[in-house]
Amino acid sequence: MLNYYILVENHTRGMALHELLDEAGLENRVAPTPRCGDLKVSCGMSLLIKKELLDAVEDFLKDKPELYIKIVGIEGQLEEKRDLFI
Amino acid sequence: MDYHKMWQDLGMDVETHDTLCSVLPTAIGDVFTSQENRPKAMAFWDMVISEVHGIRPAELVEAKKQGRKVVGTFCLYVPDEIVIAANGIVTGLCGGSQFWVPSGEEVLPKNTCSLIKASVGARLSRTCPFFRLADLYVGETTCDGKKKAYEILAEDVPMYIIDVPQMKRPQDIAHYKDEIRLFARKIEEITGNKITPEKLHEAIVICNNRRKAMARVYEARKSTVAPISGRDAILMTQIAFFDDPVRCAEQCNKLADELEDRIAKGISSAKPNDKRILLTGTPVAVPNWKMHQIVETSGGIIVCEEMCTGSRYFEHLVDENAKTEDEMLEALAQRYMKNNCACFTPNGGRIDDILRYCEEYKVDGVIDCNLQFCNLYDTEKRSVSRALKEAGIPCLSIETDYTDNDAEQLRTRVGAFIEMLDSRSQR
Repeated sequence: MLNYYILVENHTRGMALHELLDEAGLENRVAPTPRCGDLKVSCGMSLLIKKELLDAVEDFLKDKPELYIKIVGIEGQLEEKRDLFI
Repeated sequence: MDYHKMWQDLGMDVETHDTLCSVLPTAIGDVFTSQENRPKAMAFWDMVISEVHGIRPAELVEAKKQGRKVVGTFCLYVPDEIVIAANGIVTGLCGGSQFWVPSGEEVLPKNTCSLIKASVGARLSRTCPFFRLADLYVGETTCDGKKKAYEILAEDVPMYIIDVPQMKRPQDIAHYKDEIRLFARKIEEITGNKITPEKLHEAIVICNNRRKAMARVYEARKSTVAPISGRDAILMTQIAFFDDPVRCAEQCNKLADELEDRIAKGISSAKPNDKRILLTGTPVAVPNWKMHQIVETSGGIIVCEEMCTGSRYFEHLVDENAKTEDEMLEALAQRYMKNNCACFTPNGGRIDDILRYCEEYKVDGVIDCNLQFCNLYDTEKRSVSRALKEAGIPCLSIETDYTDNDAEQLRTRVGAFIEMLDSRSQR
């Protein structure tokens, strides 16, 4: 299953965007940015949104390019019984 | 934000550290982001843990540029109040990751607990910014493994040791008070700042406010609504060791407000039949979420931690009515010696605490979990399980480490324990 992450420049912008999306009724969660591909260059935190909200979030962000870098869909990031203990 | 420049400037092994950074998001995602219906206020801690080696270290770097000193600690018996009163900053240094264990094993016996090996390994492998930022490490005499580990760390970093007594007689408390006084003089020397009674009083209030805020969150956990998972609560507690204490109190109060609202509305983080578990034993330093994750994905919810990363952090306030430095040191000694660490003998107070929590938090069962080679907590398992048996409270004793090698065995044991609790509740 794909998870959609809004990548941000830094945590200050990320938390501001988190609040803005909340205020707009667009459910999102602060999440660690997966380290895969070129994503390792972005901020450690990102915002996770559900697939069904993707269009609405993109529409909300279309005139706010300064608030985020991009939205990416990544497979298989959340497994509660993976038992990867670091 | 890219922190590589900061890490390089701190003398870290950035390449090896990147390996840790590459796996941390997966672990955080599995433990925290995978949960549904979490309190919204957890967004703060999600942000902090997502950038755990970035945001707070960057703040500490800036503070050091202003001339402030960072003091690293490994134990609750090192009073934060003293450091704060001298305008210093406290940061926790206990290692909770297997990532650091091999480096620790290069200088320590393998039969040392994971927490100690990870703590030493984090310093020697140069892969944790907090271990690089601390101007002074402050150890204590709460276990033999740590005492010897501190001697090794002292070869690499300025180290100061507080002699914590192993008994709680009046002369022991008086000795501990003297130790706090000596610690205060050392901190004055390091920071160049005099600890005045006014500053010490202010620091006592700051730390008490943090305790009160955390206590509110734990108070909410007593509700059968279970408004927060154990995983989220332990993250709050773990981060408290690193965060600015005033901000920590603000965020904990914000979380507590929301939890109280969730209780009123009946919003739970648990499934209807989840069994309420008290976790006791060796402290769980960040990012050790192993038992919490296994329990809470096996039909249980952890509602209280009787450990230093738990109730001992916030229970009991320091008397704020003391006026002179001597009176304040007495108040500090009295408060800290109320903690019931397994390093004390006798330590019946810990049993009393566990039994009290079982009632207050309405627990279905207790999991007593120690790290392998943590002999103090391992030995106390006998008295803990006996007391719980007499009280009719089921107890599962577990020994583990930081690896994921035993995850499946633990799942089987925890799963069976919770099944037993379930069948017991249906009688």
